[in-house]
Amino acid sequence: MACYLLSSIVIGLWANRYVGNLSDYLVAGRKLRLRLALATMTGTELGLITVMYMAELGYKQQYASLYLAFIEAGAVLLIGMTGFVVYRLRESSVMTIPEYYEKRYSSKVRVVGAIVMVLSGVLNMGLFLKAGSQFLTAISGLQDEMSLKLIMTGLLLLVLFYTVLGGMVSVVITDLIQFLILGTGMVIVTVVVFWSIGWDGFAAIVTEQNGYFNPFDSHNPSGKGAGIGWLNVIEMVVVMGTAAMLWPTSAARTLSCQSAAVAKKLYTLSSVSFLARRALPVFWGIGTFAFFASQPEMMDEFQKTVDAKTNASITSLSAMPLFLAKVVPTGLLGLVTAGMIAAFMSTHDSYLLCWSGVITQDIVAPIAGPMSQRSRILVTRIAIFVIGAMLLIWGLWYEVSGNLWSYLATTGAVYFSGALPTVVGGLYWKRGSQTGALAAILGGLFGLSAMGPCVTRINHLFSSNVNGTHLILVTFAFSAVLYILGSLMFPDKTEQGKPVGLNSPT
Amino acid sequence: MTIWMTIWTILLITSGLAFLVVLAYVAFGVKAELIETLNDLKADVNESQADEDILDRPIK
Repeated sequence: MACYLLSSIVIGLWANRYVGNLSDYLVAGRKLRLRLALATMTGTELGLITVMYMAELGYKQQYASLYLAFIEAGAVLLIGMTGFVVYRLRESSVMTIPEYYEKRYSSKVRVVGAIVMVLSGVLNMGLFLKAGSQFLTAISGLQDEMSLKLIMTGLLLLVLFYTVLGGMVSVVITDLIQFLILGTGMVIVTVVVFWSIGWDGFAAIVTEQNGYFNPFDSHNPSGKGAGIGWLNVIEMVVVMGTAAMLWPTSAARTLSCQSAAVAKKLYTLSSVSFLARRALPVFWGIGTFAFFASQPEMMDEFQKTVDAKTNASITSLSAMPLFLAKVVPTGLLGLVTAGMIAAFMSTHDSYLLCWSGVITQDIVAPIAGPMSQRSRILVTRIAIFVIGAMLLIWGLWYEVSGNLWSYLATTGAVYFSGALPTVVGGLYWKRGSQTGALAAILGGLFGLSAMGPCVTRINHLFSSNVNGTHLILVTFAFSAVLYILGSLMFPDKTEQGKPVGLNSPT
Repeated sequence: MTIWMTIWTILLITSGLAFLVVLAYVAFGVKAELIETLNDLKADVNESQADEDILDRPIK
């Protein structure tokens, strides 16, 4: 473990030699070949946070929660096969999505879009540290809160160090190593989980434990968590379909590829990684459910600790790592922990670089006026540190109501709902205008109302019974309508001459 | 229930096996790609060093 962590520092120092200009720092000079792009895409999107919330869903909703893996992998495969959005985006040679906003609409859209994107993104990754610390607490048995905070802070500082130094180059190289470690760790854990529960144990979920199978049924018979239902499935199709195209960290990989053709292939192959990043942790969660269900006393004790909220580090997220600590042999547990820490780091580095790049390129530079490449790299480095500090603060005090996935989907929807009509409309609809884009992006802020405390407040104020799913779907519809109406009512003056999609279709 | 169990079991087996294939695909061949990419980046660095002013020139 120590060797692995030290190697990250060495890579940071070494990668700095390969950063010649801003493009190298933000998008690795757009030189990524397929395998490297695939490794960094998987390393980024298969984070410890993903493992934790998917295993939590597997524990609470068992097999039914696999619908998410199905939706996401299907969406990514479809994009890879058609090149929808990603091909044209890569062809446009932009470095960030807001840069596309300026090319297609105006600099005002770029700045406003970037601010909403950063707000959504930083809120989204605000709980990554907390989930990471819960994993370490449960798997290692470490109870001292101060030691835990120090470990998490140390890990974050390590990520900051190599990301600040080498930018996308060090992120790609560390992602490659992290992908190989966490990939191996995931395969080992999956085999151990199957081995320890056995076919009979998984079959017992069907025959004895009232397992949850049908995601279209809104009743969860296991009694472990909320049901899903049609509306939720529709919400996830919309959110995950948009995320597959436009989530900024994925888009950064698209924009770092050597060519648009490589970006298209990247998506086709990534459908496998995206399937595994959700399906395998869900499988561990299902194994956790089967394990606890076969030992009712242990399950009661765990549930009481979760319900009593006496220990903030023990929630339903902790079930999977507690289970792994019991079934994975001691020697392998070190490798699994290393794999999960690799997952933690590979996500943080990419997210930090992505948001700080947007802050520099799309907020600071357009407002401050022409800046040199050297100044932009410096501002990006400062932004990485500032976001790191915010993550520490936010991760310590915000309490999630509901499950972690709902929080992530909600914060993501703030950006997605505005970006979807703005990018798709911009690429494929000639009449899309600056006013429509601004209205759609700002309309996405309505998605903040779907956060737990806001939903409670709304229901209290209006004596209503709405939930996050309703509000997210309304936000998407609201932004799309605003985009269409805004574009039709206030067309751009230069509409006729404006290029759509900037390049020819696939 | 049988239909759902069949769907989910196929999905789980597919994801596990396909992920192994992707892992192997990346592991065998990524070294050459990494070297090529680093060579390209080195060429960028040399270009920037040859004309350091580029880095200090304000860009819009």
